Formats: sequence, structure tokens, C-alpha cells
Amino acid sequence: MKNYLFPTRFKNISGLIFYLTTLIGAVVYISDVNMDELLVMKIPALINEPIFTNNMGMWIENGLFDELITVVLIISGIIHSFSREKIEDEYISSIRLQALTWSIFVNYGLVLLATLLIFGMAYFHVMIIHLFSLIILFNLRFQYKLRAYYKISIDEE
Amino acid sequence: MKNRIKVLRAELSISQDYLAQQLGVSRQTIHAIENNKYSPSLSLGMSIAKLFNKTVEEVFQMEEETEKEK
Repeated sequence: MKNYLFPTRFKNISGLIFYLTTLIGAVVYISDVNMDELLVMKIPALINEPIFTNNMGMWIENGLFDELITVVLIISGIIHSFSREKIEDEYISSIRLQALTWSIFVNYGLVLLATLLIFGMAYFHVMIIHLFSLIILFNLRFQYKLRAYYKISIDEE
Repeated sequence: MKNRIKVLRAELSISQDYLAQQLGVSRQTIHAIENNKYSPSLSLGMSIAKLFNKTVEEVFQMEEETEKEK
């Protein structure tokens, strides 16, 4: 049965990139650094402010740091979570599925809670964090459960 | 679902590692199945039974069946 997983060789490198990018992204986001002023260059854009105009497709000056962090974090997070284990069997698949289910419940539970409790511009931060929270929660849960799986006692032979 | 894998393995002096290799799964998965922490798929269950030269029912029993037998 086709399982759409990436080869095992991508797992470690994507994990390193993912956790490093998450850390850098979090530090920069929390600090006062203006991300729009980092890596500024002229790039093509489909839509730019103001949104509701017929003016689509243009060249704009933009700091690429936040786009770079977003793209790298999402891609590395997906590859890290969906890379084959050395022995990829059905139990690993069930652990992955359970971790995905758990992370969706927790993630959207937190979003619902934030929607009911956080208002104004503060909610903008909720939306930004929500861009990455699912993949981060899924990764953490899956790796935690995998670690427990590999620690299963093997002395009962 | 209960199973007799540990007993059958002991009868044939087969290690978890050997069984895992024959089935293409990890040793931890065999351990989890033996300890009823994971119920294998139908195809893996059939492969396990075939490896021990038994029927699926001889290797795996539903909890209710084992309770009735008692």
C-alpha cells in the first residue's frame, strides 16, 4: 500500500533544520527585530496592499526573512514527520496517525480557547502562531511517542 | 485481543528479533503485540499465524472468547 512517506535519509537533516528554524523564528518573533527589514530585495508579488484593487501582479520591495523562515519551517517539519523510520511498519504508522489526531485536537482546542479569550490586535499573534502550531505540536508528539516506542523493553525473549 | 505468540515462540525457541525479521517489522512491534499493547492488522496477523504453521484463531483470540473458555 502506498504511504507517501519520504526516504529515511531525509529524517535527521530535516529534523535539525526544523528545530533550528523553529528556535530562530521564535527568538526573532519575540524580540523587537523588524523582520520586514531583513533580507530586503525586489520580488514579484501576486497581491499586495491595498487588497481589494484590480492591481494584481507587480514588483515590490520586501524583507524576505519571515517568508524564508515560514517556508523552511513548514517544509522541514513535514519532511521530518513524514520520513520513513529505518523499519517502517504498521505500528509506527499507527503511532504517527495517533500523534496527528492528538495534535489536531489540541491545536484546534487551543485556537478555540484563544478565539474566545483573546481579542483585538493580540488575536493577530494567535493567527501567526497558528500557522506553525499544528506542525510543531505534531512533530513533538510524534517524536515523543517514537522515543517511548524505541525504549520498549526487549529483554523478554 | 489476546494472543499466544510468546508461547509459540518459546516452543520453537524463536527470538523476538528473528520473528520481527521474518515478518519485516521491528522487534518493538512484536513486543507490543505480545503484550497486547497493539493489535496487528489482518495481513500481519495472518503472516504471524502462517509463520507458526497455525490458523489465525489458534494464535489470536478475542478477549470475550478467552473469558468464555475460562
